[in-house]
Amino acid sequence: MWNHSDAMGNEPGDPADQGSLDDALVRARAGDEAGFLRLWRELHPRLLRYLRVLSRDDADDVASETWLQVVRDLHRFDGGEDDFRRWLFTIGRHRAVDAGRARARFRSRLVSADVSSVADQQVAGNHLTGNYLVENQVLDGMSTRQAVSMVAELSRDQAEAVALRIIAGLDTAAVARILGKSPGAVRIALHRGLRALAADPRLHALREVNR
Amino acid sequence: MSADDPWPQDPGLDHLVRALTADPTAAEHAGQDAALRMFRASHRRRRHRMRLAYRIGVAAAVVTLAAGVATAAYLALLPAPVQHAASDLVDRIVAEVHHHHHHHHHHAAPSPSPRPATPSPSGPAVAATPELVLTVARPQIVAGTDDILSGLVTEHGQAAPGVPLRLLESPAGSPNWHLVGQTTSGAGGDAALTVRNVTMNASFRLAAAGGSMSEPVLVTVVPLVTVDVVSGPGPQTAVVKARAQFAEPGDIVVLQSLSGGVWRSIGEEGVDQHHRAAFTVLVPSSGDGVYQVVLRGTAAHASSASGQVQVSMAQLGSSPGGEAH
Repeated sequence: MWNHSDAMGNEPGDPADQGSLDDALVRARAGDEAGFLRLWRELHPRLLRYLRVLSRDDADDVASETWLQVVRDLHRFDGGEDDFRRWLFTIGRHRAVDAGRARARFRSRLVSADVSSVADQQVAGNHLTGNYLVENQVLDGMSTRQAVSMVAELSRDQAEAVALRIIAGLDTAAVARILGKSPGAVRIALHRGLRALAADPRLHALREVNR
Repeated sequence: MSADDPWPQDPGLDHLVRALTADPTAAEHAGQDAALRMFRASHRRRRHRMRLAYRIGVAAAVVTLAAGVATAAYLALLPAPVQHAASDLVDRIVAEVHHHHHHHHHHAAPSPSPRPATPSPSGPAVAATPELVLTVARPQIVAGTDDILSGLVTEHGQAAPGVPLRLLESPAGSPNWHLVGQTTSGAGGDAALTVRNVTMNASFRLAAAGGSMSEPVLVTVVPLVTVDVVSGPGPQTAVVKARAQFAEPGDIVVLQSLSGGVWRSIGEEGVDQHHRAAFTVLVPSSGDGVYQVVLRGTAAHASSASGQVQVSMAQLGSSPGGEAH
């Protein structure tokens, strides 16, 4: 399980996961690939989960765009691990907003396609069986993905407070800066979000992920 | 959580936090190689820009110093021996700039002879090798639309007008570059090129005579995905038909259903040669089923989601072939 202050349980002995993030940040800014990998391996999964809270459709694409901006501007970044973490998630949030706007534009231009000749001969049984198998697999175990989905169902304010605080591992002050709110407002949103999650009946079926 | 954070006491929340902060999966680390390539490319570009900025800085310093000293000499403010010394100093600095220029432009013709002992700034001019920079207006566009590329040409840090330029393209999956357009830099050393009907991801770069090339820029395309729904072959079934223009046969489209405010993937298909795929679903006997189709990203295009379609028995009607949009 992740800990804000240490590495997040990657393969033991992986050189990419050794050393502090502060040190990795300094090395990455100097162009050291191992330093950059250390940052990426530590923070990319957190970023992905946060982005999936905001939007499940394009989290991977938005994460890529986020890292693209990070590598482009890394030499101008000045700060330590906590500052970098806040910077990364701020960029991720902005890119997610951009992606949401783009998605809305694309959808507004959708037209119905002429697909009348598409094979109706698809074997219903095959698809339905497959579908249910997929769903059953998902529902079988309470996974990280499900937990992220539950957070995503909260109101936007609450979801972001919970995701940035727990998934991103940011402190309340940093979350407040990212969201443009007061620390008090973030605490209230976090508290209400956690209370709503605690009341969710699915939470009691939550099982730990087996890896 | 720190002591000042609210934390409702509930054992279920501990499970939730553990799930949210579980160790990363292999899938979550799957993009590592791509991220590393991105980092390398960015670092290379930055080193290139730093070298260019250094040359511009040195050239500017020479111009400033030479102008200052020349002005002083002209006004006869310097005694003759000092004027000689200043002239030698300027000569040496200018020669150093030329030497530096050769060193960093290894694709330009290198000087076969060592640096002359008494170089003269009025000697033969060093052949200029243009620096080319290319940027793209929109790194991501709808497949089949146009994009605008902007070029900037400089020589020794100054805008270079009238330089013939070639725009080269390398489509996704191809190691080769081919010519897609030509132009000439304008008065400010700038050039604008429109690439039309871009249907797959592609890299572009500018090239000029003498082997000068810009760093490549990538344009990714997002194919539009449209969906349609008709009655299915069996009772209470419907067929969700998807079409992803510009997707390649075999590209994967994923059918997702909206459940509890969350999109769940419930099936996937490869598109056929007409860019189409179909999914048969069970229609809820009461209420609506809400679906969308997501085209997975490939090397040739980014991922893309269709609009939502709602499906209910009332919409489909009792006879096969009815449609819902």
